[in-house]
Amino acid sequence: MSVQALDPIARTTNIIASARSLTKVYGSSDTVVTALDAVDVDFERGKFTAIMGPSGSGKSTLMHLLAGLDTATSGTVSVAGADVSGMNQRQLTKLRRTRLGFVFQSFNLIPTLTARENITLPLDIARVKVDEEHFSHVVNAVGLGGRLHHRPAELSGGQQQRVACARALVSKPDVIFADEPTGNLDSASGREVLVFLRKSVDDLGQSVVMVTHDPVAASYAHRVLFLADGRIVSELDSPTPESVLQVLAAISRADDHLTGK
Amino acid sequence: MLKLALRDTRASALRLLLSVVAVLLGVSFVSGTFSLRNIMSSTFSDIIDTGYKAAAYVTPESGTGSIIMGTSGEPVIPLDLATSIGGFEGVAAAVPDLSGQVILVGADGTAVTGSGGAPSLGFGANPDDPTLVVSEGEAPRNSSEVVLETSTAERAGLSIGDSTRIIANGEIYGVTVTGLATYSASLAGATLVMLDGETAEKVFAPTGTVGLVSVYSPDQFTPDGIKPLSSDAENAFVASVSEQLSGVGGKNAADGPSTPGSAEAEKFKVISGSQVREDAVSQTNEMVGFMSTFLLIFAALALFVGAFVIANTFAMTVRQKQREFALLRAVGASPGQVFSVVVVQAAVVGLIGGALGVLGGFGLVQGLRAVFRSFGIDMSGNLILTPPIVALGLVLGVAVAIASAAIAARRAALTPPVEAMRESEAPSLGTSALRGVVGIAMVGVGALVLAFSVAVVRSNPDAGVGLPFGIGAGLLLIGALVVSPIIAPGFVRVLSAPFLRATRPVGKLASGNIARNPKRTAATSGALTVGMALVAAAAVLAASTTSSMKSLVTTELKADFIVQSATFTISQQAFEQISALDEVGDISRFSGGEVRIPELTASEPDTPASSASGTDAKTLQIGATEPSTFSTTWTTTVIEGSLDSLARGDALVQKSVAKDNGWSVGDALTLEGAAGTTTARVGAIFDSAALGAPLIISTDLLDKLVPAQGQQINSVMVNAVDGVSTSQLRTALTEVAAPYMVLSVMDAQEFTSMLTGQVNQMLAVLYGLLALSLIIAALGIMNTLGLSVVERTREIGLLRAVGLGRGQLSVTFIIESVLTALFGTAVGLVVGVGIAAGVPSLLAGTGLNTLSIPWSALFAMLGLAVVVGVVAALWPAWRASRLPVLEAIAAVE
Repeated sequence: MSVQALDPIARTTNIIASARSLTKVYGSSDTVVTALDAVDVDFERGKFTAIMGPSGSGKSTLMHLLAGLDTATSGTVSVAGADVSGMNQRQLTKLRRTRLGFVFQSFNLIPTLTARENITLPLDIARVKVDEEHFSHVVNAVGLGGRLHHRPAELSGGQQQRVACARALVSKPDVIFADEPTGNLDSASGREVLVFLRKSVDDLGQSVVMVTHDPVAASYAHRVLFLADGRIVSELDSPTPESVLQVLAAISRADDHLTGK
Repeated sequence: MLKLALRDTRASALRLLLSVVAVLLGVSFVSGTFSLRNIMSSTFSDIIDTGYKAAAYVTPESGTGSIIMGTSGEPVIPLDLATSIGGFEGVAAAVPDLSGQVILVGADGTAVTGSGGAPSLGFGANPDDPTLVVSEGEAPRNSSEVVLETSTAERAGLSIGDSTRIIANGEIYGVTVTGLATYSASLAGATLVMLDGETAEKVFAPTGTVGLVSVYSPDQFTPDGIKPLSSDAENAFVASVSEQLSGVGGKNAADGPSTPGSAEAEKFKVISGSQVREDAVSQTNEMVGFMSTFLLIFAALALFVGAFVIANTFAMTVRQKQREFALLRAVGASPGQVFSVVVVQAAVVGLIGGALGVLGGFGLVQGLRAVFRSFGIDMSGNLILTPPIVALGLVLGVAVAIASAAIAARRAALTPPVEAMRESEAPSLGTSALRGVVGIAMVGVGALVLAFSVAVVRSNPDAGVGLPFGIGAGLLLIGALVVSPIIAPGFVRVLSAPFLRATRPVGKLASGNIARNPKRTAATSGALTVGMALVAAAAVLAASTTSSMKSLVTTELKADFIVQSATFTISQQAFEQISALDEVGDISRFSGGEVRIPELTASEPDTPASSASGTDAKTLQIGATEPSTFSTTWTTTVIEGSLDSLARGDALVQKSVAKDNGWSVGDALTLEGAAGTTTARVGAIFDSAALGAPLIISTDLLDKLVPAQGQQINSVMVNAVDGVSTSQLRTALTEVAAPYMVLSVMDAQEFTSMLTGQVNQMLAVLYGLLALSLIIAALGIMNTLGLSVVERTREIGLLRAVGLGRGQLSVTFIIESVLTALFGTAVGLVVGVGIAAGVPSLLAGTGLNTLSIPWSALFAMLGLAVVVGVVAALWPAWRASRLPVLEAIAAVE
C-alpha cells in the first residue's frame, strides 16, 4: 500500500476516503461471521480504485461501510474529511445527497421517471437547481443526448447503467461508489461504462471506488485492492487483466494452501 | 419528489383501483347521508313554511306540542275563544286547529297510506284558513262530504263525485268527494282529507277545545299570496293579540298585559309565527339528525373496513417497491421524503375516491329521491351538493387514505439504503411476540369487562353499565383483530386439512400462501371480521328478542284472540260492536288515559305523554282493564298482592315503577284526571314485559278520572263463548273489523309473528346497511389476491413451468380466498356471538331475557363467506392463469 499520512483531516491531503481498524461482524454467538477484520485503507482523490476478491471476501461490506450504507462493528471511516462512522441517520442522508454518488449492479433507476429525471433525481431530492452546463457536459460524456426522455424500460442495459453513471456524476460528488456496475451487462456495454468511469476520473477529476469480480473491469482502474477473508491481502497499481489474474491466482493458491488442499 | 409520487401513483393506478373504490363507497355513504339530511331538512322546512303561515299562534301555556309529529298542545283553548280572537282589532282571521288522524279508503277498498310513515290527516274546512284551499268543486257541508287534497285523490284513485268511507277517531263515515284542494308545499307523501267544520269539531275537538289557534294579520294577505310579516310588525302583532286576549280572558285585566289575567287567560300564550316555525324546524332537524347519526355509524363502519383495504394495498405495494425506496435513500432522499412519496400517493387515492364518493353520494340521493317520488313522496329540497359536503367528502377520503397508509409509509421511510444493493428479496415478515401478548391481553381484558358488566347487572339490574359494556366489546373486537395474525396459520392448517388430500397439490400451495404472510391474511380477513361480528351480534340479538317475545306472549296472552289497531286506537264503536257479537264470551280491553299522580317521584323517562305535550313529569299514561275478565284473558307474574284487588278499585303497579318510587302493596296513591280525582291503594305489584302500562286500574275507575274522549282503547282480548269454535269467532271478529281498515284480529301465534315481524324488519335494515361493509371486505380479498399475483409473478411462472395447469392455478387462488374469508368470518362470528351473549343480561329489564343463538343463520354466514371467497378470487385467478409462463419466470421487478 502506498504510504499516506494518517492525517484525519484528509481533505487537505490527497486522501478522499479512509478506513481505520474497520471491523464488521454479522450474526451472534455461535454463528459469528467476520466480514471485515480490522481493515486499514486509504483511497486517493482523483483516482479510480477497484476492490476485488472472491465471494464472501468482504468487498461489498467494505464499500457499504465506506458509503455509510451500513454501520461498522468497530473502527472508523472518513469520507472527504468527514467522520462517517460517527454520523447519525440524518447526517448520513445529507452525506449521500451532497458528497457521494452511487452506481449499482441493477435496479439503478426509478422506472416511472425518464432518463433525464433519473439523472437529476439527487438534485431534485436536495432541491438544488440543475446546473445545465454541467448537466449537458455529463450527458454528452455518457453519450445519452437522444434518449433523455425515455423511460428506463425503453433503454438497453448499457444505456441504463450510463444513465446511472450520469446520475452519480451530476451532483459533483466527492466520491462515486460503484457496486459491480458491469455485472449485468454484455462485454461491449460493460466496456462503455468502464471507459466512461475512467474518463470521469481522468478528465473531470472524479474519485471512483468500484467493487468488481471481473479482472477486465478491474484493469480500467488506477489501482486494485484485493480482499480475502475480510482483510486486504494485496494491491496492484496500473493493473492489466493479466496481472490481476495472476494476483487472484496467487491468493487462491494461498487459500488452498491454508485449507490444506 | 412530488412528481415521483404522482408518477408512481399513475403507474400503479390499477393496483390502487380497489383502494379508490373502498374510499368511494365509504365517502358515498357519508356524503349521501349528509345530502339526504339537507334534502329532508329543506323539505320539512318547506312544509312548515307553508303549513304555518300565520303571524301569531295562541297555544296552551304548557307547551305547543310537536307540530311536525302532529301532536298539538293540550286541548284547552275553547273554540269560542278562537271566534273571539277572530274578532280582535287588527286580526284578519283566527283559525282553530281542527285536525287529526283519519283513514281514507281508496277506490280499491284499502286504506290510502302514505309510504314511509307519512301521516294521514283530516282537517276541518275553514274558509279563513289560507293553507288548504278548495280549488275545484265544493267545500264539504256535512259529515257525508269530504274534499281531498289533489295528490291524495290521485293516490286514492278517487275523483269528485265518488263515494267512499273515512274512519275518523275510530268511527266510520260514508262520504262523497265533493271537491279537490291544493296545498302549496310538498306533502312528503302525507294524505290530507278536508272535513266540514262541524264534523271536524265533533271528531277532533270533542271537548270543544283545541290545542292551537292560528292568528293572521290583514297585512299578510298580498296579491302574491300570504307573506310573513317583518319581525317588528310581527312582534307588534303578537303584543296586540296577547293584550286583547288578556282582556277577554280576565275580568281584572284592565291594568294591561303585565297584570296576570284570570286563571283562564293564564293557560294560554301568544307566540310569534316565526318562533313557531323556528321551533318546528329545529324539531324536525333533531329527528333528521337522529336518523343521519344512525346512518353515519354504518358509514363510519364502511370507512373503517375500507381502511383495511387501503392499508393492505399500501403494505403490499411498499413491499414490492422496497428497492425503489432504497435507491431513493441511497441517492440522498431523507426518510421524510420517502414517507411523503407514499403519503402523497395515499392522498391522491383519497382525493379521487373522495371526489367520486361525493358524486356517488349525490347519485345515491338522487336515486333515493326518484324512489320516493315513485311512492308519491316529493322531496322538494334541491340543495344537495353544498360546498361543506364536498369539502367533507374530500377531506374524509384523504384523511382515511393517509391514516390507512401511514404504517406502510413508515416502513417505506425506514427502508435501509443498503437494500438497493441486495439482489435477493427481502425476507417475509413474521409476527412478533409483543403482538400476541397485546392482542391476548386486549381480548382478555375485554372479556373480563364484559363479564364484569354482566355480573353487575345481574346483581343490580338498574346499574348503568352501557359504557363499560361497550368498551369491553370494543376491546374484544380490536384484540381479536390484533391477535388474528398469530392464530391465522393454525386455523388455516386445521381448516384446510380435509382439503389437502383431495386437492393435492394446490390445497397445500394455497394454505402455504396464507400461512406465509399471516399479517396480510389477518388484515385481509379483518375487514370481514368487523362486518361479520356486527352481523352475528345483530342476528343473535334479533333471535333472542324474538324468542323472548314468543315466550312472553305465550305465557301472558290467554285469550283466543287479540284485536289491535295499526293506529294504536280502537274506537268505542268498534269495541261495542265486538262486545255485541254472540260468539264473544269473555272480553277485556286495555284502555289508556292520562292521569297525574302527585306521589310519583321518579318519572318514566320515555313516556310520550310527558315529553311531547309538555305536561309535567308526574303525569302518566296509565292503563285500565275489566277486572271481571282480566284473569281469563291475560296472566301476568304477580310479585306481591293479588290481581283480584283490581275489582276493589285498587291499582296494579308495574314492578319497575313500584321500585323506582318506593311503593309497596297497601300504599295509597292520588290519581288526578281531567274528570275527577280519587285515591287508590296499590293492590298488587306485577312484572310484565308484554304490558307496557306502568299502572293498571279498572275501567270503571278510569271512567271516573278521564272523560271518554280522553281514553284510548289499545287492545281488545276476546274468548269464544262456550260451544263456539275459535274459527267461528275469528270469522265474526274479522267481519266487524274489516270496515275499520286498520284493525287486525290475531291469535297468540299471529300476535307473536306481528311483534317479531317488526324485529325482523329492523334486522333486514341492519343487514342491508352492513352489506356495504361486507362488499368492501370482499373487495379487500380480491385486492390482496390481485396484488399477490403481481408479487408472485415469478413463482407462478415457475409453477406453470413445472406443469401446474391453468385450472389448478385458479383453484389455488380460490382456495386461498375461501380460507381467508372463512377465517375472517369465523373470528367475527365468535366475537359477535360473544358480545351479543352478554346483552340479554344487560337488557333483562326490558323483557329481553332469553339468549337464543341462531345457528342456522351463523352457518348461513359461513356459507356466505365461501361464496364471497370464491367470487373475490375469480378475477385474480383469471389474471394469474393468463400470465405467459416464460415472461413470468423472467420477470424482474
